[in-house]
Amino acid sequence: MARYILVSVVRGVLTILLVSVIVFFLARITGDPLSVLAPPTMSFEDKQALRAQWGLDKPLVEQYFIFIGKAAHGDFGASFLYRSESAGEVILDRAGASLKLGLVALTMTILIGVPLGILSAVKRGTVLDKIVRAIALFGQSVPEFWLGIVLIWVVAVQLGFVPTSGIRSWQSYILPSIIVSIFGIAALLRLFRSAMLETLGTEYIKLARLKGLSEFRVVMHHALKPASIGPLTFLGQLAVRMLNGATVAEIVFSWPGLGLLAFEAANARDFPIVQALAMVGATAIVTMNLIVDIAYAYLDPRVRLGQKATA
Amino acid sequence: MRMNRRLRLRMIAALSSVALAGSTFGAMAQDAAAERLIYGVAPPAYGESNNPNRDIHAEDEFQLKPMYENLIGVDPETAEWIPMLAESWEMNEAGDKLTFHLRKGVQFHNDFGEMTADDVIFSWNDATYPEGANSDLGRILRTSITGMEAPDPHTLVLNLKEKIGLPFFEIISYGAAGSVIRSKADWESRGGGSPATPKMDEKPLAGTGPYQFVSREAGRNAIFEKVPYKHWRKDGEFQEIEYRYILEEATRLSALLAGEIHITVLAKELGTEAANRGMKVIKSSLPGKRWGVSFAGCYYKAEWKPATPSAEVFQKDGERLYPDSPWCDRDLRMAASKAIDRQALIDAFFAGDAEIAHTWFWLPEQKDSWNPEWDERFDEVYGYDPEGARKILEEHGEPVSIQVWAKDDIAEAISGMLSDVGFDAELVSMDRGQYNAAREAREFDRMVEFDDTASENITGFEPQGYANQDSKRAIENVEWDTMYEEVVAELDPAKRAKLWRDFGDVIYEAVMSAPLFRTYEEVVVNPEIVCGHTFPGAGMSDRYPFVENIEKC
Repeated sequence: MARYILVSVVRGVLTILLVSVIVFFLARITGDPLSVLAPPTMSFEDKQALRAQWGLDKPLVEQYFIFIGKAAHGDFGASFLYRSESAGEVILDRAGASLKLGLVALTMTILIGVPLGILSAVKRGTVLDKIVRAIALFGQSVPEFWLGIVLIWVVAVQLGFVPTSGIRSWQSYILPSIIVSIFGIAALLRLFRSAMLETLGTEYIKLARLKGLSEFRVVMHHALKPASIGPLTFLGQLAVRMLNGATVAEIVFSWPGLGLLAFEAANARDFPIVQALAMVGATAIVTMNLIVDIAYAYLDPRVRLGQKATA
Repeated sequence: MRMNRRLRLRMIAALSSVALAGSTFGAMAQDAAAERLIYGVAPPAYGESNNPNRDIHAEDEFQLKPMYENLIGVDPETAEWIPMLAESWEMNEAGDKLTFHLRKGVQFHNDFGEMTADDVIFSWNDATYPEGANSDLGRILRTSITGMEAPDPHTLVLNLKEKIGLPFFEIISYGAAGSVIRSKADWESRGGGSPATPKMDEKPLAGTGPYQFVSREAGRNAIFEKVPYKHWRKDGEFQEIEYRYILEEATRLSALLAGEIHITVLAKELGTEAANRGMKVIKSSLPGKRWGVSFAGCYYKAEWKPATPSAEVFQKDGERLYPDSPWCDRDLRMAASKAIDRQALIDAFFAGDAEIAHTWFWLPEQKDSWNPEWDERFDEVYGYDPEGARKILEEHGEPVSIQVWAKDDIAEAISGMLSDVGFDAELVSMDRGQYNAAREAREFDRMVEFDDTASENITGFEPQGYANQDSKRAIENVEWDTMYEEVVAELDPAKRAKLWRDFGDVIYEAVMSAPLFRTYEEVVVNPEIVCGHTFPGAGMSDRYPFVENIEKC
């Protein structure tokens, strides 16, 4: 188990380094930040001074090593957009909004997706199953942007039930969290349905039923745990995506989180913020993968013992 | 599992309370509106900062505008410059001293005392040093001025090393960014230092505007309150102003209809939708937004030089960077103008609510500098005439290939019109940053750029029509440049108007660019909260400032 974790950690660190290289150079391919941020009449001397202040006058490779050296200490440099703030400060300021929205959305995803997936599997072939599968299809197909605007129009403007945008009260979380979670609910629901159907068809489940156990006990105690392994991987990725900031939802609802920040920073070529967000996101994904891997090992002893899982 | 009756009742009660609580959002917003005006705006696109002298882009200056003022103001009805913190100014005969007489008794917020010349020097120095300020003021102060003095608290003297013209006055006016007056005493009370930039979790430095700072949250909003005394210039009608950042226009429309915001700016079609649902559209005083097409590519080979007369940089028949650029040919420029059906564009993109412009930078409202012949001859020189355009191209002989920057739908429509008359028009897709960089590097030899401006018209001409600068939009001609330099150097308004008209005659005949239309800037308001708003819509003033002119119902 220890070796398993160590290998996962090393793999994760290498992944983060690779992401840092890709993001660093890709960001600079988009062009000169001064062509966006500087007014047209800014003098040549002022532009040169800004370039020097931002470290853009150095060779690219040198810029990268300066960046990665500082990033290792949590310093991602000064923001180009928010001149008196560091990229880290700006991100920390906005992270709370994304985390809260992400947690609400994640909770909704689990509380709705898991039970619906189980229900759909248990009631396979019934009207209920068809309704749930239609919900899944809708959730995975509908464009978030469109749904967000429609929900604002109907629920916020016409009915006046919730605010249209921003963070005003707990009601502000309702519509954005629906948008953030809808795809995850649909996907998780389908994954759980599929996994449960497979597990409920196994011999040991038949044995459990023959032993006279209640259907509830058979499903929740004997089938759910092994069926969770596959969906768990997806849930890990989903959690990172939700907590890192859902860009579309944050734009539509003017939610001052990391997704909106990423959009603004990319448009303005604020390299420090773009790089910092990418590194934070990559670190979060790698960490989540590590947690999922460890959870795998806990849930499935075959993984812990280094044997391949069999069908 | 069946839901039992108790659980069902609890769920119904919970949903009902959400609905009841939520349904009061609009009503609560309306009740509070009597005190706070909420202005829905797009977030600052180029960053937020507490230092308007250095860090705030001109398009984002609204974020602190209500709390600051400049030496020179802008008349909200005519867009002309008027005295603001400076009551008057004069140049000495030698032309090496410019003296401002400051208004007495203007108070800074938060009891930081009376505004004096020392505060102006402090604010302007902060825009100048260290280099790197996001402000035009520093550039001009560094190149044109040897020093600033305050012989008494209400007199500011600029010692000039070269003649100063119109651009300087534009840069220190209310419509420009970077030259607001902030309290030196406030900064010194915080320990001083350079640059004078408070952090985002601190208050900005005290200003003299009719509103003072309350709070701001980056990415969310900025809130101001009326000063607790009679303002020297104008008292706002609302106790508080909040700029609420909402990026998506459809969401801003929703927020307006839901009563969460009271005034906003929307695209034309959304504004019409809002009006159909009971909101009111208020237009600017002037149709100050001017749209046109510029032709980029007819460059001199020589590089431009800042702060140098054009005749010392370029030669009259100097070598061209792209000798074969189609835009060096006046007839081809005329053909391009004649290809454009301005009325069709107005009908398609402005719902018919725009007027055809006969020039791009001369305003018919400024009668002293307007030539009526420009109206009379417009159809002959510029007007829509596809057959005339085709004839010019046929007489040209060879196929003419051009590029059109696919900036937006209107640019794409223009490209189609150019193709229809026989230009081989290629649409070029680039984001603004890449496009600006490439144009400034003079990479284009045959580009058509659709653009708009609400700038002050004389100084706004420079980036579009003057060769010796870096934006590289102009058809470069050193004789035109020399005439233009005379215009901007003339400080007497009557003499300047004549020079400007004479220059207009030359530019008009040369078909330097293709003027298209003029539109009013518009705001969309909740008519139960906002009964009127006066703002010029021109002279570099955007819609978001002038909040003290918003009238409460």
